[in-house]
Amino acid sequence: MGEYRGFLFAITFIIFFAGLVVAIPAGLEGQGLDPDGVTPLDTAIIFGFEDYENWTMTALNPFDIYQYTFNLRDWWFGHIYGTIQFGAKILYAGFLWFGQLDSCEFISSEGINRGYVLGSEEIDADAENGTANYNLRYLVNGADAGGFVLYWNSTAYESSADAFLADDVNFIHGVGIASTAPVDITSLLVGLLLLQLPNCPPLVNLLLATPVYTAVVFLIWFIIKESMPFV
Amino acid sequence: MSLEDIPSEFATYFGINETTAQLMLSLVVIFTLLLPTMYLAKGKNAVTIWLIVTFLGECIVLGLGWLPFWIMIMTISITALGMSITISKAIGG
Repeated sequence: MGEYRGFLFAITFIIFFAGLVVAIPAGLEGQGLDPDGVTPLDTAIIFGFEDYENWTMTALNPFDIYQYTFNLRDWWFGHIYGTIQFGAKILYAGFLWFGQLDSCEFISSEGINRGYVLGSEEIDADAENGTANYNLRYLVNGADAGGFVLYWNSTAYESSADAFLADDVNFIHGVGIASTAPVDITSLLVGLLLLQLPNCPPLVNLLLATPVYTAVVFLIWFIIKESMPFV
Repeated sequence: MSLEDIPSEFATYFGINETTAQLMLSLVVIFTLLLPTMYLAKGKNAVTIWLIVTFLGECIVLGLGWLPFWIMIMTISITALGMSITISKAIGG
């Protein structure tokens, strides 16, 4: 009888725990994960973008330019004299480009407008553990142009300038920060089970993950036991 | 000064750690909601009402960035444990 009660307990615990975690309102999940936090499943999951373009310094052409088509527009990214400049191409007749850009301003995660030329000192000031997040805003009309993230290995390079010199910086331009919880919740649950919940002491994470693991292990043991009468 | 900055201002004013200030202020918010509820809601289903109010209070302080997110996971874990014990007792006897 005790085992059946344990089975009921384990199954209701898993259902209630998962149900309540998924029901957490979007926007309350904290600041997301660092790139070297949870084993990366997908950069879109980490940063919560619905769609994104990612590239590294090695993808830049000899003039330190990277061009790509994303979210129905053609984009231009330049690393010019140690600064970052970014914008959507202004095309005539849908395909003719005369070098004009619909430039974007970089708004830091703390709401500071860094203008349309982003320097290494500003990146270092905005970065946390080698990751700097920005909202992009069109310079002309102030409309939203998505999010921009740049990150580097902060263990290997002390500042963004060092990482730029070593051509070891990663960039992400994303749109549509997920308004629904499941994308973030997925990375959160993975983080919880891998003991890498963001901003959580490992011991507390272990305490939080133990009941979930215990319930799952008990369920597996119970199912195997019931399906094999001789056990 | 925004609401999110209140803990750091509080910490500076009293000369305490910012995390301590965040915890103290969060407790003030949660108990401001919870204590009147505990006084008003008594009886068989009182715990459910207290839990709902605690969740609401936690949502507010989490939204303000005063508390780390794992506090919510901890509350959920404890709630799920309580509910599982009640249900397994009710069904399993």
